[in-house]
Amino acid sequence: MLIGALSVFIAMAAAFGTVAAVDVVKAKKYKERYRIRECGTAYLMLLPAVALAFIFIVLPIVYSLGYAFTDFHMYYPNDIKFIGLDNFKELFREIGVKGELYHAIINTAIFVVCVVPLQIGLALVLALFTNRKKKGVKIFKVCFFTPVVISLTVTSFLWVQILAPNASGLLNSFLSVFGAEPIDFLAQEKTAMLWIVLMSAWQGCGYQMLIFSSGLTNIRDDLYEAASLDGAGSWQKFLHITLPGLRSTLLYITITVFVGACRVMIQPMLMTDYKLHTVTLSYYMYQLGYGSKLVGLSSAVALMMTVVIGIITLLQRKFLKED
Amino acid sequence: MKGKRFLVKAAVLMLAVCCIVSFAACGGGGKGEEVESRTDKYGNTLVTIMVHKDSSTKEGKAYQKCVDDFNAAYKSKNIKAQITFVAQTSGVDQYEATISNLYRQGGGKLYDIISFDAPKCAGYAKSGILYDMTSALGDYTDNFISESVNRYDGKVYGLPIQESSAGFYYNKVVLNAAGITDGEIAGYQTNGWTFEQFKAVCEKLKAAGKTAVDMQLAAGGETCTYLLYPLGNAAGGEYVSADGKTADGYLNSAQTKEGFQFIKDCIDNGYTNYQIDGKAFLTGDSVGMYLSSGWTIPDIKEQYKDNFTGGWGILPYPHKSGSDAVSATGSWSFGITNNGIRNKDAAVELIKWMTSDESATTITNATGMIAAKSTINKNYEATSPEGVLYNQLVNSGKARPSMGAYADFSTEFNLIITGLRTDSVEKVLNEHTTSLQTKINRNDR
Repeated sequence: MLIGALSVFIAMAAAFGTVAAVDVVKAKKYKERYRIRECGTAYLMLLPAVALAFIFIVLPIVYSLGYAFTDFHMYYPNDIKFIGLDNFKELFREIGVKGELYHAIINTAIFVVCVVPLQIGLALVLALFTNRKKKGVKIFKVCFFTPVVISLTVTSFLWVQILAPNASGLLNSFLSVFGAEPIDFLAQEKTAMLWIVLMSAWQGCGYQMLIFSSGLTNIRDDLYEAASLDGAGSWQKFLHITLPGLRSTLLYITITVFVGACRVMIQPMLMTDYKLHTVTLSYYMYQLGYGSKLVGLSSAVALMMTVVIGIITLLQRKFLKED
Repeated sequence: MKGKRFLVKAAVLMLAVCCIVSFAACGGGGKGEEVESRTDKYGNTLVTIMVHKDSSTKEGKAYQKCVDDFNAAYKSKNIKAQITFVAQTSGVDQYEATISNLYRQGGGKLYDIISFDAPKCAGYAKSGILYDMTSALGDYTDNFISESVNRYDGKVYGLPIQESSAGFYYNKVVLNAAGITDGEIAGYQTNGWTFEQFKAVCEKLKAAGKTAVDMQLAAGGETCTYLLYPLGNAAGGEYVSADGKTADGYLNSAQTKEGFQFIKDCIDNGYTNYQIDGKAFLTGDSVGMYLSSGWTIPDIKEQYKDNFTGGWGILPYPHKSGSDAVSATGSWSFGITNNGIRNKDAAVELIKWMTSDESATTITNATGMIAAKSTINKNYEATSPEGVLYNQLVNSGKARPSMGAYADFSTEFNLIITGLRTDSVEKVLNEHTTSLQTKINRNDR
């Protein structure tokens, strides 16, 4: 444990040192005076933040990735063996036999594909709506943002109550007015994930709405005025001025919503429990680590997720052409 | 091209760091040095205990009282107990992670005594977290309900704090109105009943316009497993082999299938479903019977008594005609840990104290549950709720499967119950037998 922590610390210190050295070389190259005392003070001030990041962020992440190559079992914490790629072989085998991991990948993909455009689209519409200079718009802004400040646990329970499969459920009691039989929405294999998508998009879009709003304020009014003089309609203005103006905001939002969507766990956990039709990658990883106690295998899932999310994020940056 | 090279370099670097850390991690935990015993500055031998409840709960207060009484009684012997409450606010899984982390540190960091859920015994015992108490306890276990004592490989690793069992709660007024007489009910309570008799009662309730029974099919988690596992056994089936390593041929055996078929029949015939409001039985008269554990007894007596003024009771688990009755057992237990403290005398004294007749009475008075000892359960009337549960425990109690991969069994059991909603018993059991076997193999070391 100590050796591992030490090696990670040395790697981080080396990275830190390299950055400092590059600074000195750059300064010399451009014939600037490198003030060691000033820079030293800056680095010293950075040190507490770096130390905290090392202890609470870097070390746990690197350790978790390291465990992916071991047979770490929670009941045998003193007997951890290096097993190479065995965990990854096991995961690929499980995908091959369409086991729980296969379902987790499919469900996560469905969630991501649905929630990313829905949440971003909803946020953009709300931002455009609340960005108008009209009376009372701020009230709507507060209303749309409110779900964001409510804990995901609370909103999940709230939706469980709304979708309850009997007369106590808000939606079912509404439907019963029209003579419909109670429906167990969250138990339906084909629709349960969509309800989770809907709830997640509703809960999260308020935050992206605020970011879009600040992006919209950065677009100059004279562009819209010029477009109006040229006879452009609202749709053309949106397409040729608003959207290009929001490109970097859109990239940031797409990446953060995508990464967040890939990690979805709380909603299926609280709304449906561990079920094949709603299990997601993060939930599967949690179940492996805490439920089955297979920390090593669970870490392998985490590593696979990190790599896949990283690659897709890089692709997003490439295709959305970051400024 | 440049970017590609950078990515390759980054991937290689990441892999290298992971390998270094993996190798470093393989060294194991702290494995702190073993010590003879732990003492405080006054020379008292310290013995520590961790329980899974919050100190402000009734149960937590009962544990605190037992420890205080122990300290008063053992003051002259210079033994002092310290209790720590690690409430399961983040679920049992977090509680277990705490145990694992402390065990890894060694050197007495893990508490001398821990409380644990009974089916986890095999996993803890096999991995060495729990201490074999067989010789230290001698004949002390004789006064416990035999099935409640936590054994693994024939050795004693845990003593039950209390017992719960489960049964079918009924509302007497609802059953009588459906044509089920008091005589019939008393007969089932005393002599047990078969799957067919159970279905006949359900049919009468259904005909009376009631939901016959809430079997808590949608309860999920360990509640679902705990309440429903006896039905597979009551058809003569088993879930895994005696050593806990084989599911194939057990979970999908003809007998176990009959048990699940009974549940499936109840669903298909409209006696029960997944959509029943969990409080419907307790707050109204739309549901005839309600499968629940002993913890519902205090709820009905205190919180919902107005709904049961016409009388209520508990019916035992039904069984297949020709097979033995089987009922749920296994609550939380105390066990001594292999925490790096060599001398276990003080821990043995404390665990005996915490499971003594006096302590068991204090704890069960607080929780309203049944003590797991034959020495303090003699006055229940046979047809009283506590009496039915107690007689079940003694005569037909059967623990959940003893296996290292118990958590996986519980997950699969839940998935089976969910699967029965849409698929045949045959299909669901075959699928989940394969899945469970894979998980058992992963856990086998």
